[in-house]
Amino acid sequence: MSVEAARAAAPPEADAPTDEHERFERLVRRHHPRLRRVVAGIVGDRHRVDDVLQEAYLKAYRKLPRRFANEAHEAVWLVRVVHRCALDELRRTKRRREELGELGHLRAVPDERSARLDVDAAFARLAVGDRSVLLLVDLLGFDYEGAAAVLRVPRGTVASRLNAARRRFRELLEAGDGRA
Amino acid sequence: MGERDVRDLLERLDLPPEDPDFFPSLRERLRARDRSAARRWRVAAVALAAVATAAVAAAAVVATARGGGSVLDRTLSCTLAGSAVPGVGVDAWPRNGYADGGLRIFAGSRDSLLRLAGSVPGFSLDATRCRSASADVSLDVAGLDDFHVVGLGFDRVVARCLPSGRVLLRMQLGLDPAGHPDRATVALAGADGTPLGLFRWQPSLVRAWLGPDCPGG
Repeated sequence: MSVEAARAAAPPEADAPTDEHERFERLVRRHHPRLRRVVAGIVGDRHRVDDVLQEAYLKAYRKLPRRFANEAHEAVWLVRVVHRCALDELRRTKRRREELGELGHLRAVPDERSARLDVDAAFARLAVGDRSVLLLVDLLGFDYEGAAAVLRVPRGTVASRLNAARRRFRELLEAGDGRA
Repeated sequence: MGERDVRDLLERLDLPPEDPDFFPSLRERLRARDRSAARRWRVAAVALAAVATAAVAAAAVVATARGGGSVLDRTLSCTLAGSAVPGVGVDAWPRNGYADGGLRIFAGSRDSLLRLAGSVPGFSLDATRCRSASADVSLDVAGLDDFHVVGLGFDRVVARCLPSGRVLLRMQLGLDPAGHPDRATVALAGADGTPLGLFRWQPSLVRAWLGPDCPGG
């Protein structure tokens, strides 16, 4: 059993916006639009995106470092937290969502183009590791080191996984409906 | 298929419109989280007060005016009994781009006696293994000839000292106004007061002076 020693200063008033809240929200807003795409791409259920992000941001706030070496490190740190939460969500719901047709973001709406459905379907059929590396490198623009830090794999693994993921994505798209 | 082609395709993935209440809801949850943390802080403060009262003869809690922060100076005697791995371990690291700096003193291979991190207010102390002590443990480096320094990056100082039975631990901990550790000096000594090692930690720098019974690097 451990005894948590107290802080030297009194805690901030909890109901007032704090500098830490504002700093954190500014940080989150810098990355939020792209993180929505990452979560949607990993989780697959478009209706869960905001819930997963809220949980991820709360976790990130609890672990918020006092400073970052630079903006790239900040992005890697936040994406790693969000990516981990998205994977956790995927695991929790995996048993209920084994069927491809159950993935929420594959549901066609009347005015959507079939091309979009093809892209969504093909992407959803990729393994989660492939989706992750494509989202990190090709969508977010991370370099191999950054993606490796998020995924906690060696840099070489990112490179090989990326090539394989691009190839599989292309094959699925060429199959026409994502059911290759 | 190249990077640009894939990016174009990924930009076309279906994405629901953002909930307009997303950030107001997040702010409310952050406030609720802080209220909960404040309650835990009050409980911890009561526990600390009880420990400090019991230890008043041996431990000095010195508030200073330095930037509104404070300095905590305590000497403890910690048992190492019950650990499969002998001795007391030290692991100290400065921050890097992905994690904040921190310091951990542990019995055996994993039982933390003292743990602190630059991003976490206060510190954690195993009160079941450590009790306040009146021994005089020096914060001097005399007799500790093996010097190591680690700056910003991914290196760390790892050492294992080999006292028998108990270890004396003196910590002088600086806390910023928000209660985050911003510097710490930790001296380890054997039960007879023989210096084992001295560790000076700052978020961006770790220095260690080790004696012959405290190999590491």
